[in-house]
Amino acid sequence: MIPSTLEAAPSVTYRDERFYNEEIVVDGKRFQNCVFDNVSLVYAGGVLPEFVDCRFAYDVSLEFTGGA
Amino acid sequence: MSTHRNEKFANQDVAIDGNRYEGCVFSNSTLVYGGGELPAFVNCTFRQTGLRLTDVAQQTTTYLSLLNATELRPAVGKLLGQVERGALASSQRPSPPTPLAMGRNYGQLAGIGLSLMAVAIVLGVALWYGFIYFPTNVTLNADPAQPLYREPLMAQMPALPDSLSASYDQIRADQIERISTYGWVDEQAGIAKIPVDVAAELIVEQGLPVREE
Repeated sequence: MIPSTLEAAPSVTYRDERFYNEEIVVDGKRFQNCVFDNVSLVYAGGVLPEFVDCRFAYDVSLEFTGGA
Repeated sequence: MSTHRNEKFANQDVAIDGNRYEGCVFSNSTLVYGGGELPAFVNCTFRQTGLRLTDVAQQTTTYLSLLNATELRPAVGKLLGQVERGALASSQRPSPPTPLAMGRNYGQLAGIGLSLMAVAIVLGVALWYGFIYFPTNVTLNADPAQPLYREPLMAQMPALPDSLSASYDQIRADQIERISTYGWVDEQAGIAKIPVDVAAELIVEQGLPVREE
């Protein structure tokens, strides 16, 4: 059973942004029409993020922390 | 965190977060992991045991499924490949199992040794049968018998004289007498014989006889 806090909708929204050369904690965030280039997506096992119409460059890596 | 030693878990869901299991047997059970502290399994046996993720652990799989539907599918595949190969970061790996030489595996070692001895015996018997018993007792005695091995029947052998040398000398003397003396071959038909030496001289002097037309 997933705790109710994990089922909540993303509370932060990013639109039309470009993320470059950085670590991005994605828990509870909504990304819309964003571009990720040379970034590390960090997930800690919290609220699921949403990616809508986003573009990912080849060098995007996945990292997990916390409960994830 | 709790430690379970030599316990049996059957037909149940086992919450494994943060627990350590040593010499335990899991059968027809489901290991439930919620994403907490990693469990450790040492010398455990798993029979028809499944795995279920809950809470944060399930959330992580959902996150990976979400990413797998985007352009990050290769990155997800790479990550899962690392999981399959056991290439986790050292900090995420469960503690290594303790060495097996604890004095309680002698029964297993004896079983393996007896099994190997049984296999060796079976192979030895098979080789003896294939290379020794079968060729000498089955193939050579088969019906019909092999021609090279069958004893010749004495009744079919020609009768040999008691003294081969004496018989040979007699035959030789008879032949020499026959070609070195005069005599009749068929007196009524007028056929006579002369010594070979004389016949050779006559042929030299008179030539070979010619049939009259």
